[in-house]
Amino acid sequence: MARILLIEDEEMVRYSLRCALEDNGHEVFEASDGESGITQFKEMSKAPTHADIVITDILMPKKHGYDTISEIRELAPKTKIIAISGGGSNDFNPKAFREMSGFLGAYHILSKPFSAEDFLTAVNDCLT
Amino acid sequence: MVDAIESIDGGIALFDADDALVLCNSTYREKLKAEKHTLATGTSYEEILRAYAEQGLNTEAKADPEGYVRERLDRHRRLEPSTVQMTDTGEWVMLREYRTSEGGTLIIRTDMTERLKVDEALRTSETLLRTIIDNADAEITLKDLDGRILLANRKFKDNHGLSQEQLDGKTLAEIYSSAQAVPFGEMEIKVLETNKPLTQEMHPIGTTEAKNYFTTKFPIRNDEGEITSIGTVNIDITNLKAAEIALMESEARFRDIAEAASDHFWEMGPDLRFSYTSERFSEETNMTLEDIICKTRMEFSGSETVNKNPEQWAAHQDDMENRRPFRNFEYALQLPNGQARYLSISGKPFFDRAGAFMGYRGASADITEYRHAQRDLTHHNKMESLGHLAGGMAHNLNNLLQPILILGQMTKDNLQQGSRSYQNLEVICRAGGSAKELVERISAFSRQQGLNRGIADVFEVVQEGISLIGPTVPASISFKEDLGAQTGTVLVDKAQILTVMMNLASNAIDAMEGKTGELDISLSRIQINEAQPHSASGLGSGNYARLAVADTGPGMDEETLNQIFDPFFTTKSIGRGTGLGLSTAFGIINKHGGTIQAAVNLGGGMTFEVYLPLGQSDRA
Repeated sequence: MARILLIEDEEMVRYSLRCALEDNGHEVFEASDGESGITQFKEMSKAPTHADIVITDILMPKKHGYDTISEIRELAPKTKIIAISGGGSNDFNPKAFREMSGFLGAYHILSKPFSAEDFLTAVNDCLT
Repeated sequence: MVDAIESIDGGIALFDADDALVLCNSTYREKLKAEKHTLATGTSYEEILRAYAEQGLNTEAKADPEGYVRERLDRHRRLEPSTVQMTDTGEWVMLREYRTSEGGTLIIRTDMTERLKVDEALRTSETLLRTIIDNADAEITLKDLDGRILLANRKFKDNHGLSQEQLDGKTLAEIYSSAQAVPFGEMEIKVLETNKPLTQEMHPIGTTEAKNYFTTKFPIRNDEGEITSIGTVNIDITNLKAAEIALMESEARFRDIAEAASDHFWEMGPDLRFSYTSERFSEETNMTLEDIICKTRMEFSGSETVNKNPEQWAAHQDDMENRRPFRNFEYALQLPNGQARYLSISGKPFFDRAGAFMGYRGASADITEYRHAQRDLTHHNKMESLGHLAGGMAHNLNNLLQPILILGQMTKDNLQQGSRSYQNLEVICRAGGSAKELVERISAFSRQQGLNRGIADVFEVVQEGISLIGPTVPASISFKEDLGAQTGTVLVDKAQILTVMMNLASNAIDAMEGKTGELDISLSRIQINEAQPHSASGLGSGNYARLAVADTGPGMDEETLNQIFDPFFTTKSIGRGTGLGLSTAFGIINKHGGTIQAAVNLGGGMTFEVYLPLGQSDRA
């Protein structure tokens, strides 16, 4: 059982990932953009520990996923981060996304759409 | 004998040795108005004179009869050959005296009035002629057959600074030198040989000034048709000649400019058919003059071209029929070798002095390369847009597929295997999986397209970029370029590099917001190694082409500067910028192994620098 912060602007994606996490016994906190995600992360940090895992989208309003990753790395270096992205423009291809997220310190990098198995494998890996 | 004397036209009187009248005719008697007795044989000449003088028949005699008689007698004794006197009726009379063998005297009295009138008329006409000759704006001389000057008009004397006395009877060789006189002498010999007038262009004698004369020499004949003298007329054509030379030089100048220019020049007659095209046109198109001259533009462009754009051609034709100037009419020209050239033509009508339409003159520029570059760029932009569209679609589809796949899977796992609902969800998940693969293929395609690299001279690529940028620079902005022609070669997708250039230039122009400013594009070669680190971060050691695009706009703050290459970031108002231009530029340059960076200039404005690795052969 882990405390997980899920930052994702697409409501349907957020819902589906939340279901997968909760079905596996995790406690899920949500945010719909990078900025409120950071606020939520700080809020959660008032509890004895930080969030165990932060799952964040990349292309989001208000604060970009890369910036969100960097900030969380600053705030809590030990918190594991999973970056998820649906790709995008020519210049924002999966390869660049993987390289950048890895460079910034994301523990796992998943390209949408991914399967429930891959998702849960990544989450469990963060907890071991 | 008496009959003979009477038949003489004039008075006649014969005196013997003692001066006594022997005989006289009736005319003599009449003219002296003498009574018969006064002219009786034996009357002395003195008595006759006295009677004549006393009648006051002569103006001199009237005034002083005695003096007249004395003077006449004196002349008579000295036998003056002839005396002219005027009678009281205004007649002119000439008296001639001859001594006979017997010592007598024969006096012949002739009425000179008519003769003198002719002489007077002759004198008048000579004066008139002289006036004309003296006032003529040409040197006129008359020489005898030995070349001695008989007459020279005022213009000749003025031009040569010589008086009549200095000229009279002299030859040109005497006045000047034989050498100087030779060409004129040769002309005169020719005139005498051919018996015909001769005109030649000559340099005048006796001046160091560079003058040109039209010299005409002609024979002058007497009543018998013999040549007695040679006339010369020198017309100064120096100014005419200078004007002619100036005209020739001007024509040569414009011809040179026309042939040196990269544009072509043409002229059409009033029938709107070609009457001239500059050589360069035939050279570039491989068309002979027969292919062009006397044809209309429509005819030599070919019906195929015209039919492609009938409205444009009709508008062009309408311009010309209404004698309107036109600018940048573009059309394709089918060359004999099958190639198509694109031409942009401008022209204006021209008219003669009376205002009659004479045709059209103008220039045409070969815009084929420009058109091709434009086409490449359009294609590239199209593909790039498609890429962006596919990328955006992929992003959205991936997000939509995420809940379908995850929830489908999870729901299916909760159902009994083999049930209808389980099978339904399995189909949903399979369909979702196929959709995912399809999106991956589209994404892969959108990333793949557009990179078509080749080795190119970076100077030529940048020049081509500038030819595309040039027309977009507003008049308020001065456009400067400083391009190193020997920068080297790069391995690039030319169309993409052009996109980057266009993008940087249009950003620079936009930054100046329609105010006056300066757009500066420069290209140089730069070496980066560990000993000489460079501000261009992330570049390995080596030689790079540095392309800089600088503006004099307001620049930007550091926060903005840090974001400009981010996708979707824009400082432009909604609808003006996509926020993809610089991120696209960044992506393109990265793919080429180079880098792009921006800096605020010390004096204001921004400089964007693009570094592209130069080819191995270019290493210093």
